[in-house]
Amino acid sequence: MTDLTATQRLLRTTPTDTPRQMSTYLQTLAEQVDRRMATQAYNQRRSKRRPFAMLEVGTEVAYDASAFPDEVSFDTISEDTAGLADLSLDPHVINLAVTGWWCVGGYAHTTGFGSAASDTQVTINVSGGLFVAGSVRDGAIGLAAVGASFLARVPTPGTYQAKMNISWNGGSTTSVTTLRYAQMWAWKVRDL
Amino acid sequence: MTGYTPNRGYPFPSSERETGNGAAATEVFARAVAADLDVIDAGWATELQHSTIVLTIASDLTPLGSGGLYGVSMDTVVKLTAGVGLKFSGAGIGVATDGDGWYHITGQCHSKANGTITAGAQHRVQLEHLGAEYGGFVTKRMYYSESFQAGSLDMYTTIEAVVHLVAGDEVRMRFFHTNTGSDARVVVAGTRLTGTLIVSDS
Repeated sequence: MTDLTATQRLLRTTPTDTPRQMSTYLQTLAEQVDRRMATQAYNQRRSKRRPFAMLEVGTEVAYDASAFPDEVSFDTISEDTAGLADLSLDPHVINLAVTGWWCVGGYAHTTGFGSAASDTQVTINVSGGLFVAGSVRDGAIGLAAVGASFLARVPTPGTYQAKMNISWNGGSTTSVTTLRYAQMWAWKVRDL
Repeated sequence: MTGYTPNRGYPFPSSERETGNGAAATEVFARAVAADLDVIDAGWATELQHSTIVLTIASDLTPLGSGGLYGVSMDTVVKLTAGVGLKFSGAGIGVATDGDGWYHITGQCHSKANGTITAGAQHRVQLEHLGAEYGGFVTKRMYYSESFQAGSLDMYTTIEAVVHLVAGDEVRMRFFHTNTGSDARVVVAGTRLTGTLIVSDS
């Protein structure tokens, strides 16, 4: 009479089992262990190569905060482990393609908006519902750079996107700035 | 031994006739499982060990003087799960031989003035991504963030970036302040620098 182990529920033989039964029992046990091991290996691969995309603006470009659309247009996909971005289809977005909690964020380095009294602000927007904003004062030292991230809950697959724009707050003399460098990232932190 | 499981290829006796050699079959099976477990355990150990590093400076105030650019030397490792991958470099976050990958870097700096800060005071925190080259370091990229607070004695500056780091790289934090009053001296009251692995190249 076979039994099961206490925690993993694997088949084990007992002293009353007959040699005739052994081949069937060993096959069942091997297949049970095989499935557990395959699951472990899959989880480990998934953990090491989680969905992650990194977009960059590597070439300095003029950016007009009053243009429409005003999302930052990225020129480089630096990493994409899960087919989350396609600049030929849309250079502004990372698709948060699977459900889960995602860390979404960005960093931008600009020359500011023409006044030391204005703030430069970066906003990351996830499908119009969730956003984070980072803000710095344009300064006399000739740069405005800001980075920020947040956790976004993605409850359904295939519809959520992350976008980034840059704006000013008070005191600017122009809506145009020079975007020296920018990056936007998204990676899945964990399942829901 | 004519049967094999579909995923990992564990052998099992596929007929009653073969069970006459049951002890040998069990041994082969057990050895195969043990070998797989060794690989998976080693993988999880690596995954867990090189996930996060958190560095701070001590809580005592570090005087930086009036105006200028200063390196912030981290001296306390708050959390270091970096037996593999990340390490404390002595000045910031360092990357070990097998640490290549993408990391989320965050920095926070709390600075204080022990004098009057004039309107227009500005504090900047810089992250420097350095790469080992020709026996020294070269700057691969700088990341900046600023705080601007007129008349305040406390300033808080944060910064975030995602950086691809390879073996020998370091991430260090620098602190810059300007436009302080003539009598003001600035001290760093608390600094934190963290690195978290997102995906490994290996």
